[in-house]
Amino acid sequence: MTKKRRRRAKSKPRTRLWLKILLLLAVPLALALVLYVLYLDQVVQTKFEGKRWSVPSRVYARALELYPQKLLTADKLLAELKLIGYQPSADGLAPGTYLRNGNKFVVTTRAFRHWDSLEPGRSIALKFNHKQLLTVDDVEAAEPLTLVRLEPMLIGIIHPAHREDRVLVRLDELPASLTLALQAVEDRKFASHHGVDFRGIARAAWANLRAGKVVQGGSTLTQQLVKNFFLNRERSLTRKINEAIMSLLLELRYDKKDILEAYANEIYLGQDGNRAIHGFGLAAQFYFNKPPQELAIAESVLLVAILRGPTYYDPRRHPERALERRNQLLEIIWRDGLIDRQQAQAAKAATLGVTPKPNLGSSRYPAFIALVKRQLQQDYRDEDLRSEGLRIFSSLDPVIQQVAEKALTTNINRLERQPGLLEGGVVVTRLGSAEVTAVVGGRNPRFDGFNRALDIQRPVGSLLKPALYLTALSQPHRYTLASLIDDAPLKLKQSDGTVWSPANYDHKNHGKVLLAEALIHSYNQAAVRLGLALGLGQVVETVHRLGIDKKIPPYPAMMLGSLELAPLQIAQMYQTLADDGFYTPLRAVRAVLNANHRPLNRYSLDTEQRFAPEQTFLVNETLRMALRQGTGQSVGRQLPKTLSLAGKTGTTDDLRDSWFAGFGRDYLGVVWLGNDDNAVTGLTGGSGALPVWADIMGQINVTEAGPPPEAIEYVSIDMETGLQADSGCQQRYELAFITGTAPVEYAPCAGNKVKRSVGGFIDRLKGLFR
Amino acid sequence: MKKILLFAITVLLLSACAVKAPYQDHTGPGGVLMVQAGQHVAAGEDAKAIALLERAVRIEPRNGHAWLGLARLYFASGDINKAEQFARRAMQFAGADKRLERDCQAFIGEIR
Repeated sequence: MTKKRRRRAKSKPRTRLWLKILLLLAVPLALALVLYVLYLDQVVQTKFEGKRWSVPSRVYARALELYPQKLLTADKLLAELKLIGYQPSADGLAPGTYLRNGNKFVVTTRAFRHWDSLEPGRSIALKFNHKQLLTVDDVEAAEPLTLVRLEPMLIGIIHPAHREDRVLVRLDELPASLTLALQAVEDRKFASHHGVDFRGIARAAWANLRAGKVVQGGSTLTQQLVKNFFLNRERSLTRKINEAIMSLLLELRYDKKDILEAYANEIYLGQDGNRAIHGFGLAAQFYFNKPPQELAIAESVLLVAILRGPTYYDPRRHPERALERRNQLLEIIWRDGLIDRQQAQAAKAATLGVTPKPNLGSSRYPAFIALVKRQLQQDYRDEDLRSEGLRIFSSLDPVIQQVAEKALTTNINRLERQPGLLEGGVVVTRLGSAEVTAVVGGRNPRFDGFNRALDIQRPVGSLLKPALYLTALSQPHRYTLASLIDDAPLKLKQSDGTVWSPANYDHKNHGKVLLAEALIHSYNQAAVRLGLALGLGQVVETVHRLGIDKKIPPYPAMMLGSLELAPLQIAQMYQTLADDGFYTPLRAVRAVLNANHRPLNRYSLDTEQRFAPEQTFLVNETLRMALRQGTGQSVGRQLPKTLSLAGKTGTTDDLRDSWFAGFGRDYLGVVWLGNDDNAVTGLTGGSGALPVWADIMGQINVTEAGPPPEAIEYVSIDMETGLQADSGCQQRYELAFITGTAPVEYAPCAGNKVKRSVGGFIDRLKGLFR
Repeated sequence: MKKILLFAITVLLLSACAVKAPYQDHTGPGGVLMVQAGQHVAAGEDAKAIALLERAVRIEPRNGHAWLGLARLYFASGDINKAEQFARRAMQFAGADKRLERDCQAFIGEIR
C-alpha cells in the first residue's frame, strides 16, 4: 500500500512535469504556428491583391479601314481576313467569320478597342468591282456605312522578364459551359468546400489505388491555384502543408468568384516555343483564334480536357488523345446534367476545331518588330515602357508585308548565282503620313537575326544623285531640266595625292547632255562635274535636308554614292522627295496604351517643308522618266503607266550592291540586294533590286497620277541644243519647267519659226494640256 | 473666350468643307472624321480631335482640309511653328480648290 502510494506520489509530479514540459513546448509551437499562418496570410494577401500577373506587351498591325470607293480589291480583303484569323462560314454572321460570294462579302467583325476609340462589332455586307470597294452596308440595320475598321492583326508579343503570356479575362467573360465543366471535372465540391476537400482526397486515393495509377486528383481548384500561384514545383510534405494552409486562408479571405477568376487566368494550358500559354483567355485565342465568349461547348470542354496535361493532350500534336479525353469529359458533364443528350451528342461529334498554330512571339515579323522596339526606346520614356501589358499600335500593313516578303524571296531565288548567298532588305513606307508599312530584313523573313533593312551600311551608288540634281534645280534661273551640262571625262587630284577619274557605267562619253538626260541615264561624269560646279558643301546640305542625318565627308566620290547607308535611311531621303519637299520623320509606332487603356505620352505626326514643291516635282518627274526610258526601263516599261511610278537605280563598283529606291502616289519602296560578305553579286540596280521593287510597287500603288503643281508647264525640248523643239526636231523631250524658266529660243531644227517666242500663248496652252 | 472663338472657327471651317469645297467629298471617310473632330473640339477634347484628323490624313493623305484642321489645332495648343508647317502642307494639297488655298494663306498670314 505504502509502496503504491509512494509510486502514485512519485508519478504525479512526473506527469505534471511532462505536462509542464509539453506546455512549455506547445505554447511557443502554437505561437510559431500562428505566426507562420499569419505570415502565409500576408503572402496570400499581398500577392492576390497586388499585381498578380506578368502580362507581356502586344504589338498590333494597322487596322484595315473600309469605306465606299476605297481602292481595294476583293482578294486583298480576303488576304486581310485570313491574316486576322477570320474563318469562312455558311452565312458570315457569327463574330470573326465571313462569307465570300464572288465580289460580295458578308463579314461579322468583333468589337475592338483601338488606340483612339472603340469600334463596335457588327455584320457588314461589302460589294467590290475589279478595283475598288463599292459599298459597305450594315446587315442588321440595312443601312450604308461610311467608315468601318476591322480588328488589327496581332503581330508580336514583347515579353518582360518572364516568358509567360496571357490575356486577362473576367469571370463573366467565360462561357458557363467552361466554368461548369471545369468544376464538374476538377473539383465537384468547389462551391461548398473551404479550400481543401478531404473527402475528395480520399475518393481520389481510392480511385487511384483501384486503377493502379493516378487517374484522379484530389486537389481542389483552390489548391491548384495556390500551387501554381504561390509555390514552386517541388513535391514535398512541407509544400503540401503550405498548400493546404494557404488554400484555407485564401478561401477565408476571398470570394469563390475571385478565386475561380484567378484560377482561370493563372492555369497553364500550353506552350508556343518559349512562350507559355496561361489562362483561358489566351488559350481560347491560341487554340481557336477567338475570344472565350465565342467558345462552343465542345471547345470549352476541350480546354478543360487539356489542362490536366497540356503537353500530353496537346490537340495539335496528339489530336486523338485530346479527342478521347474531351469526349470522356463530355460524358461526365452530360451525366451531371449540365448539358442535355442532344448537346452532348453534337459536341462529341464535333471535330476538335483547333486552328493552325499562330506564328507569334517575335517570330513572324522580326524585322518590323525590331524597328518598333527601336522607335519605342527612342520616343517613349523608359519607365513607361517597363510597365506591363502595353498595347502598341504599329503601322505595319500585313498584306503589303506579305507582298514584299514574297517579292524579295522569289526574286532572290531567281537571281542568285550560288544558292543561299544572295541577301536583301526591303522597306516600304506610306506617303503623306510617312509610316513604315513593311520591313523585310533578309531572304528568310521569319529569321530573327541580322536586319538588312535597318542595319546594313553599304555604299548607295547613284541613289544620292537626286539630291545633287535637286540642289541644281533649286536655282531655277541657273539650272533647268534643259540646261546643257558636260559629260566629258575628268581627272581629280585628291587630298592624298591620288587621281580619281570617275567613268560612266557604259564607259562612253556623251559630251554635252541635258540635265534631265544626265539623271535619266545616271551619267557619272556629268554628275561629278555638276556637283563641283554647285559646290560639294551645297550638295551635302541638300542630302541632310532630305533627311539623312549621318555625317557626310564632302569628297567628290560622295556624289557617286561612296556614302554607306541602310535602306531605312534611303527611305527617309526619298520620302521627302515623294512628299513634295516636306520632311516627315518615318514612324512605325502610332500610339501606345498602358494596361488601363491610357495613352502614353506620344509624339504626334510632324512635318516640315524643306523644299518648294515645284523643285521636288522636277526631280520626281525626271525619276519617272528614268524608270520608263532610262536606267529602269528594262522593268519600268512593263509597269502600268497610269500609276506614274518614279525611281532610281543604285549600283556599286564591281557589282557588289544592287539598289532601287522609288515611289508611286501611295507608297515608297527601297530595295537592297547584296551578299553579306560583300562579295560580287553580278547585279546592277536595274537587274537586281528593280525587279523586286517593281513587283511590290506595281501591286500596292493604286492612286493614279494627279495634276502637276500649278507653277509647272511642259515644253518640248531639242536634245541637241536644249532649246525649244517642234515636230521638225528628231530627238526631243517633253520636259517640265517652273513657269517662266523654260528656254525661249527655238532650236535650229524647229523649222522656220521665229526664233523668239517669249511665252508664246499657243505653246503655253499646249504645254498645259499635255 | 479663346475656346469659343476657336470652336467658331472650326465650325466655320468644317461647314465650309462640307458644303462649299468643290473637291471635298463630304460623305467620304475624311469628311466623316472631320465632323467628329469638330464635335470633340466643341467639347474641349483637342487631343481626341487631333487623333481623328490624323486618322483622316492616314486614310486620305491628300486631304488638305484635314491637314489645315490639324494646323488650327496645333495653333490652339500654342505650337505656332507646327501650325504653319501643317498649313503649308494643306496648301500643297489644295490643287484647284481655291477656297482652301485662300484659307491656308489667310491662316499662315494670321499666325505669323
